[in-house]
Amino acid sequence: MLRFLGRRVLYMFVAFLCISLVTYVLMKAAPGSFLSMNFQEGGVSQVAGSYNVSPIVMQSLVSYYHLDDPWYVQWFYYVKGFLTWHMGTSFEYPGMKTTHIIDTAFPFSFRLALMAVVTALIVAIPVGVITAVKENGWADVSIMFIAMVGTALPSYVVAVLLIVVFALWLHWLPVIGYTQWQDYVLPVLSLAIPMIGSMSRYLRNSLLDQLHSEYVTGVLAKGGGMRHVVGSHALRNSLLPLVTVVGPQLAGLMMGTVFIEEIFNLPGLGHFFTSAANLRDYPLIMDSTLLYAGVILIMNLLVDLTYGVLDPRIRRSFDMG
Amino acid sequence: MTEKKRTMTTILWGRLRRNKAAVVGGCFVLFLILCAILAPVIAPYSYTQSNFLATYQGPSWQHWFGTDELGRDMLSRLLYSLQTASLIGFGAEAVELTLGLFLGAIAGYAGGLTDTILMRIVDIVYGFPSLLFSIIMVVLLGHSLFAILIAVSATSWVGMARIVRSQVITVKQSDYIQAARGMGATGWQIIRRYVIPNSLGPIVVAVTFGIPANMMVESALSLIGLGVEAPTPSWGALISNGDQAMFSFPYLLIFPAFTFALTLLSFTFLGDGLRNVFDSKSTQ
Amino acid sequence: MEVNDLVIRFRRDGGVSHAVNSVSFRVYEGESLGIVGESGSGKSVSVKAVMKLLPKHAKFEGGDITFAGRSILPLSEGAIRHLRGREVALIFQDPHAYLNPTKTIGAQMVEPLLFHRMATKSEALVQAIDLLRQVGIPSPELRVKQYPFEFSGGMLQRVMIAMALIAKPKLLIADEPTTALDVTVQAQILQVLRRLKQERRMSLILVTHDLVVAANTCDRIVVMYGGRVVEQLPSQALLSQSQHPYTRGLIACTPSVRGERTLPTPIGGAPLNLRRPLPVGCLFAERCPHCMERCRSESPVLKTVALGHEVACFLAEPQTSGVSA
Repeated sequence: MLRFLGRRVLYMFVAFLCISLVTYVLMKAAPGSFLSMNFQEGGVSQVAGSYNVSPIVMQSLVSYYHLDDPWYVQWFYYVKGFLTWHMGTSFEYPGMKTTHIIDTAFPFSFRLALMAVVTALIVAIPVGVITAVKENGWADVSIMFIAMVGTALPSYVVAVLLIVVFALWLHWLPVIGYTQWQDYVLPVLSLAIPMIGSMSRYLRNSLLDQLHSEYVTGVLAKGGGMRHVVGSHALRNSLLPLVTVVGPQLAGLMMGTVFIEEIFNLPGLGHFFTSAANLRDYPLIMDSTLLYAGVILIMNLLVDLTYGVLDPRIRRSFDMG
Repeated sequence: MTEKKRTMTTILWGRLRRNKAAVVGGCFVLFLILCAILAPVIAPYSYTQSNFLATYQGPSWQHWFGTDELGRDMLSRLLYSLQTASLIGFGAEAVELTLGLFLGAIAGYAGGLTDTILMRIVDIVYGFPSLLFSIIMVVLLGHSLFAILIAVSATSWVGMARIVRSQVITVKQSDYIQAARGMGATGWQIIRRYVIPNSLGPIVVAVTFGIPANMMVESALSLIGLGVEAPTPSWGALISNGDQAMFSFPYLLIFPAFTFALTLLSFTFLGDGLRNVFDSKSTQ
Repeated sequence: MEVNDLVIRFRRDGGVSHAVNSVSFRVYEGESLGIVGESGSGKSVSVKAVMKLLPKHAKFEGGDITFAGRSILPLSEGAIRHLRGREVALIFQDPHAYLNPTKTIGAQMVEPLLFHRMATKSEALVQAIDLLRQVGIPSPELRVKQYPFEFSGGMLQRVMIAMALIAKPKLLIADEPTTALDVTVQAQILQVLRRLKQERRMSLILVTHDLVVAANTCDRIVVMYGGRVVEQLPSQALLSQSQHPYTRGLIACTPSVRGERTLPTPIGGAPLNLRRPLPVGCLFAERCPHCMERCRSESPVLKTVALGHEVACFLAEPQTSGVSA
C-alpha cells in the first residue's frame, strides 16, 4: 500500500512539474509578457509604463522572478515560489500578493465544488440504483432520458436555464449575491446537474453489470432479497468503477466553477482568474493555473487511493508486490 | 465485398431509423448545418448593423428574436454565432480527427517504443485540465478564429488517439486478422479491409460527441470574454450579454441559451443513437 | 421434496426454448439423488427451479413442486426467501463466479444466518470457522478474512459447501459441484459431501453429467434427456439392470480405467436442439439404435419395471429378478 502511495505521489509530482513547465513556457512566449521584459527595448521601466504598473513593483518583479537568470533558473524559482506559497504580485491589484487573492477566493470556489459533488452523489446514487433495479421499466427509460439531457449540457447552460425558470419565471430563488443560503442553490445545482446526469447513467450501467453477474444468484440462493443484493454486494462493487469516472469529473467541475462564478457574479477564484486572463495579469494567471492543476491532480490522487482501498484485489496486490 | 458492405450499411441505417430521438436529433443537426452555411443568405440583417432607434426591442415581426443594446437583430446574431460555433466545432474536430487517426494508428500499429512514447505524451496531455490549457492558449495566441481553433483542438485530440489506438490493437490481435495474415494479406490490405471498417463505429460516435464538446469550449471561452473578437457573435458572448440584462430584457438570455441547448442536445441524441447502432453490431 | 410434471420454457428473442418438458422426481428425507444427463438435458434448470432461481424470461408452463408437503410455485418472493438457504441450499458449478469477489469469505459465509436472523454476526463467524474446519480447510481463522481470489478452485468449493450448510438445510442441491475441478480434487469434494450428508442426515440432490460420480455418491439416479426423465433407478441397479437405450449408451461411453482396455462407445448423433419445436414421439428416437416405427409417433411414458425403477421406453420389460411390480 505504501509503495502504491509512493508511486502515485511521484507520478503526481512529475505531472505537476510538466504542467508548470508548460505554463511557464507559454507565459514566457506570450507576446508582451513581463517575463520577457528584460529583452524589450527600453528595459524594465519602459515595460512598467506600458503595463501601467509602478516601476518599483516592476523592479521587484524582475528580482523576484530572477529575470536576469537563464530560463531554467526562472522556472525553478517559479515552482519553488508556488510550492512554498510565496507567489508573485498581481498587476491588477497592485501591492496585493496573489496568495492573498487566492487565500480569499479559492476556499469559496472549493466549497462551491464540494457542495456540488455532495449534491450530485446524494442524488445520483439513489437514481442509479432505482433505474438499475427497474431495468427497462418506464421509470428507468424516462429517468435515463432526462439524465442524458443533463449530461449533454455544460454547467453554464444549465445555469442559464435554471435562472430563466426559477428566477425569471417563478421568482423563487435569487441569482445575485452570496450571503444567504438561497444564493447557493442555483450555482450548486448548475454544477451538480451535469454530474448527476453522467454519474447516474454510469452507476446504472455498472450496477446492471453487477446485477447480471452470477454471484447475485449466489446471494439469492442464500436467502437474501434484492435489498441484500444491492445493499451489501452489488452497489459496493459498482461504486468502484464510479470512482474512476468521478476523478476526471472533479477536474471538469473545478473548471466549471470558473464559468458559474462568472454567470452568478460570485467572488471565487474563477472570477479572478477570468479577469486576470482578460487583463493579461500574468502572475495571477500563472499561479491560479498551477493551483487549479494542483487541485485536480490531488483529486485524481485521492480517487486512485480510494480505488485501491475499496478494491481488495488491488489492495492485496500492492501489499504483496 | 461491396454487396456485403451495402447490406451492412442498410442494417445500420435501419437500426438508426428506429431510434426516434436520434432521427429528430439528426434532422435538427442537418438543419443547423444548413443554417450555418446559409447564414449570410437567410439572416434578415447584418450582424453588425446597429440601430440606435431600435435598441432592446422585444420579439416582433421585424425582429423575431428582438434586438440587443445596440439595436442589432438577435436572429441574425444567433445565426452567425451558429456559424462561428460550427466553424470551431467541425474545424477543431477535423484537426482532432487527423491528429488522432495519424498518431493513434501509428502507436497502435507500430507498438513497442513508438507506442510507449506516444502514449506517455497522450497520458500527460490527458491529465492536463484541458479548458485551463485552452484559456492559456487563447491568452497566448489572441482571439482570432484560428487561434481559438488551435486552443480548442490542442488537448482534445488525445481522446481520439486513444480510441483509434485501442481499435487498431483490438483488430490487429483478433483471430481473423491472424487468419488473413496467414493467407498472405499485406499490411495495407489489412488496414483497408479490416481495420478501417471495424474502427469506423467508435470513431463516428466520438466525432459526433466531439463536435458539440468543441462548441461548448468555444462558447465557454467567449462567455468569459476570451472568445472570438467582437463584433463576430458567439453564443457564449450572447449568453454572457443576456445574463447582464436578464431582469429587464429576459429574451436576450432566453433565446441564445435555448438555441444553444437545443443544438447541443440534437448532437447528443444523434451520437447516442449512433452509439447504440454500432454497439449492437456485435450481438447481431 | 417432490417435482411433478414440471414444464419450463425460456422465451427469448422471439424464440422459445423447451428446457424442461414434464419432469417428475422425488427426494425423500435423508436420501441422496443423482440427476444425470448431457449438457442441455434440463437437469440444472430443474433443480434451480426448485428454489425459483431462474432468470426472468423462464416461464413455468405446468407442473408442481412441493417441499415438505407445501407447494412452492405459488409462493411469494418473500416466502420463497424463507426456504432459500435455510431449508434448501445450493452449491454451484463455478464457485469463483458465484461469490462476490470483493467481500471476504467470512462475510459471505455468515450471510445465510444473518438473512434469516438465526445468529448474530460474531456467533455466525464462530460457526463459519467451525464449518470450514469440518470441510477440511486449514487455519480457518485466517481464511475467513481472505477474499475468493486467494483460494484455489477446490478450496473454494469446500467453502461453498460450508456456506451452504451453515443454516443447517434439510436439502442440499449440488449443481455440478466438481465439473470445474481436477479429478483428484473432485474425489475429495465428493467425499466431503457424502460425509456431511451422513452426519447431518439431510437430503442431497447431486446434478452431474458423470454417471460414475452419481452412482458412487447417491442412493438413486434419475437420467434425463431433452428435458424429460428417461429412467429412474437405484444406483446399485445401474450397471446390471438399466434398460433405457440412452442410459445404456451413457454407460457404454464411460471409459473404465481398471477393466479391459476397450474404447468407450460414443452415442451417435447430436443432442436434441431444444430451440426447435419438440419432435413427436420419443425425444431420443433420432439417436436410438433400437428405434421403432412406434417411437416416432407416440411418446413413451415412465413405467415401473421393478421397485424404484422406472423406464420411459417401449422396449422396457418388467424385471424378473427384482420384487414384482
